[in-house]
Amino acid sequence: MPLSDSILFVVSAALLGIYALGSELIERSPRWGRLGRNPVSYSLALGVYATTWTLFGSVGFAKSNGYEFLAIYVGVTLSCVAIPFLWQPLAELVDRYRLGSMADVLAFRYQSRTLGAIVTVFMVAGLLPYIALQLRAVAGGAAILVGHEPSEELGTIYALLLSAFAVVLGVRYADGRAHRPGLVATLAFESLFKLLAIVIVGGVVLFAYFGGVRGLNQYLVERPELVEAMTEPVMGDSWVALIFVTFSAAFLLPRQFFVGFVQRPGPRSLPTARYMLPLYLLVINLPVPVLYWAGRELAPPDMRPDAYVLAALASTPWAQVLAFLGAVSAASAMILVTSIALSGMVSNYLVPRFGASPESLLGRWAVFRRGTIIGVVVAGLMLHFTLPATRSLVDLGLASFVAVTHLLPGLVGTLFWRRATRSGVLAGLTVGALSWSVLTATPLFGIELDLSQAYALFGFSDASARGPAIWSGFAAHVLVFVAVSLMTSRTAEERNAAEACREPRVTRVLQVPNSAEALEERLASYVGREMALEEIGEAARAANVPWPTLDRRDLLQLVAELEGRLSERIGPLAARTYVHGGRPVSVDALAERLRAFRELDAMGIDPLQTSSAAHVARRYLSQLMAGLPVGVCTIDENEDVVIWNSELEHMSDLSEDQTSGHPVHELPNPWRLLFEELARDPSDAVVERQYEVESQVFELRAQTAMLPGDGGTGRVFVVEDLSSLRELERHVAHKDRLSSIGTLASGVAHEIGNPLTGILMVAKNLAEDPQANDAEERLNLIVDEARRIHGIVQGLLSFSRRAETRLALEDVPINATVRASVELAKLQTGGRIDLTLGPESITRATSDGLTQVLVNLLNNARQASPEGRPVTISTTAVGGEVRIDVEDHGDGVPAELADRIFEPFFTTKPQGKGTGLGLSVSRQILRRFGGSLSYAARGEGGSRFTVTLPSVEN
Amino acid sequence: MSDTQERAILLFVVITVLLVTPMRAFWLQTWWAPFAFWLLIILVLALLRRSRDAA
Repeated sequence: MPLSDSILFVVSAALLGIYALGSELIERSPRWGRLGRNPVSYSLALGVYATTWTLFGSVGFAKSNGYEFLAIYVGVTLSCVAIPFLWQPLAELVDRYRLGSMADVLAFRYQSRTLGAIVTVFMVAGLLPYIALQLRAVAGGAAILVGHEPSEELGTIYALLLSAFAVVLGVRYADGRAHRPGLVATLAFESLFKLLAIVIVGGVVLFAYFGGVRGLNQYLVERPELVEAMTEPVMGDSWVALIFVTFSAAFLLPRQFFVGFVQRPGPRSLPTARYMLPLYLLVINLPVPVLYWAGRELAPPDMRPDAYVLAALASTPWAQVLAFLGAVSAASAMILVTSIALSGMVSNYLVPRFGASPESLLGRWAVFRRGTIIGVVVAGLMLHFTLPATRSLVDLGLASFVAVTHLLPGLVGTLFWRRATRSGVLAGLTVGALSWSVLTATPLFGIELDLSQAYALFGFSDASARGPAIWSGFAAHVLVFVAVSLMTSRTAEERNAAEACREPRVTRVLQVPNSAEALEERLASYVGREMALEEIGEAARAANVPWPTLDRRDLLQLVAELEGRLSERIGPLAARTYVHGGRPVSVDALAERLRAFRELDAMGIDPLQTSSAAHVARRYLSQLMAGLPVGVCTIDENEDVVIWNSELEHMSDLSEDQTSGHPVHELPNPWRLLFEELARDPSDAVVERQYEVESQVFELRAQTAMLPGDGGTGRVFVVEDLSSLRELERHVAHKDRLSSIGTLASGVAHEIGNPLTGILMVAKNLAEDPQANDAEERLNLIVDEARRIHGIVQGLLSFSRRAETRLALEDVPINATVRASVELAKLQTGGRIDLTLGPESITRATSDGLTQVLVNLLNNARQASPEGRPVTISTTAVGGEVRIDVEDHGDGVPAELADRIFEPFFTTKPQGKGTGLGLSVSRQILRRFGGSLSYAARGEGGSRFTVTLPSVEN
Repeated sequence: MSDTQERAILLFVVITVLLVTPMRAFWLQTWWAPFAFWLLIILVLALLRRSRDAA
């Protein structure tokens, strides 16, 4: 027997009334308010995604497209898998800048109110079909239950009921404040109710019609074509497109954005929702195929598949009512949240543009916003009556989903692609909106273009499938977005905003007015003095600061609170203009931040604990940490990590999210080992440690200091990565060795030149006069010099092996060696060499080496002395040493160059006359004998080089 | 394996299995298989959350 119209209406109204009362109770009671702040409630509230489409439309979708209906929810699951990549950074951005919608996000990132307005218009146009869908489903369901055809009157009655609910609660929550526990809790209860409703009615059908799970299995075994009809569409063209669309809709639909980001109660909410939301959607979809199979057996042939749920429950009226109430519940929640979200966007981006005077802006803002809620619902109602009745719930819903996918490119530019420009996103969005209008929206009204040939070019065989229209519109959007972005450049404001979006910790600059009067004047110039004073007064009360105030700290707190409140109400761009005088965001104004931070610090404000004003300090501290070239980690008294700066993130490949809040002993090595060692050491000594972890070598230098606090003593660790430094040192050492080898080789070539010249001259003389009396003596000289060259070559080989060259030292008679050297020098340079020998002494050296040194000194002296002036060489035994002095009568070495004559390559000789290696090599040789080489100017002009060697007993 | 690698692998597996046409046939064997596969994904997500909390 059909239900009475009035009873059904009263029951429906009662359900919505309970929601409204419960919401108010939770909003007013701190105790109950907790229900709206926990992650489970939040996850359930995200179930606002499931609407009448889920309860009624999915069954119709299953009839036409089998398991393809699951794509609408599996796409959400995939989106939840990507929460850490997409949702989380977006949530941080929204929190940081108190953004209220995707219009705010894009307008902020691309610094364009026009963009915000376009997004708003597009979203309103895109979402109206969705609202119409809800009204249509509820009106259609009511008509079936009361036993007559859907009528305008019935549709209007339920539309008014849902509108009244949306307006009453919407106005309550449309005051611009985020985090409304009453709203979140109401949505959570609503989600639970519709879940229970569909599970119960699904259970009723399963047991009443199929006789349980076993009966259902038997039913399907006997009808394999039903299972095939369910699975086959999933292999078609539309599956991936639907997944993509719902992947985006899961967090970009205005209601999903509003609940998921604006109402997010805390950082733990998203991780919980990551698995709870997919679980919720799975459970709510389990009954769908059961209801479909029962409906196809029980529904009249002419019944729309969207109504199969009610047809399947024809024998159990109470279950029909329950299913209907589930749909009312889902529709009311969807319309409520969508209208609140859209009203915010419209108020922020359309109302000021269309004529609101600045003086009355804030005053009229609330009226506009509430009026917008009514307007959105009424517009949806009009669309419900306008759209052809043949359109299914899925057609209407998908039109909305496709619209929001066009927000994705702009969002990717916000989070990941700094090169994206305002022109690019505006052009892309325009193309996207046009393609949506042509390919998705107008077909809803029966106007369809035949694009099958165009689709066929891109490999789509079925032009009637949803995939080709979705992909072609989105591809055109992305193409234009990327191309125009690459062809245009960003303004300074865009660049700053892009940086701020990319790295949330590098936040906007707080350009604080200089005085309370300046703040008041600035705000008053936009909104009028009365409204400015009112807003400032409310912000002052909320921030708990006196007003008017001249205290700089209070002013900072007040500005932060005021900007946040205005940002929530009139959008971030307008708020910044009103509070900061329209100056662009500038990340270069470090001095201002520094001053603000120091002032807060001097006032004893804990930058990590306070609320409003601490934003200023926290921003500065974050930037300071991000800019330091060394790693910084701080731990609190419980040894939990508090700060993990960006340099340390770079060194460790661990993000702050992975470390912050975790105890030190849970950090991976080598960080755990290093910090635990430092924490045990009360000193502030610098430690250098090398660790090898999974084949990676860490060379770290670290230092720690105590960090006294109210709750106990924490620590700060400063870490430098020495790996790159060590690598540089190794590189320099290698270069140094190469240079040494090169130096030695040059020196060796130089020294070989001396005996070789002697050999050549003696050999030449001998060749001219082979029968000379001293031929034998000359031959011996050649042999001796050849041996000397041999010795030098051996020395080079020893050096090149880098071993500690162990010279074969021998007892060398000083006077005999000096005499031999003089003979050689005379052969090379000629001239007079006066020889004064003391008592014969013995030293431990190599004869070749010592001869090389002396010949080198004599040649230098000979070259420095004027023609006809002698060079003198003398030996003296002093104590345990023997001294050999080589003196010339030249001009001597200028005093300012005396310190440099032993440096390699240093020479005072004309270019081409010396390599500058002789003295350095000589000194090196003598050091290896335990001796030394020094220089002194002679009193009467000229130079004196003194060789000192240890003498040994005979 | 870092968290980022873990997430990337999970995302890759889920995308592959959900979107690549031949892989779709794998979880369409019976009428209840899509739900079972879906549940499997959720269990993995829940386990990841749990292991992260435990860490």
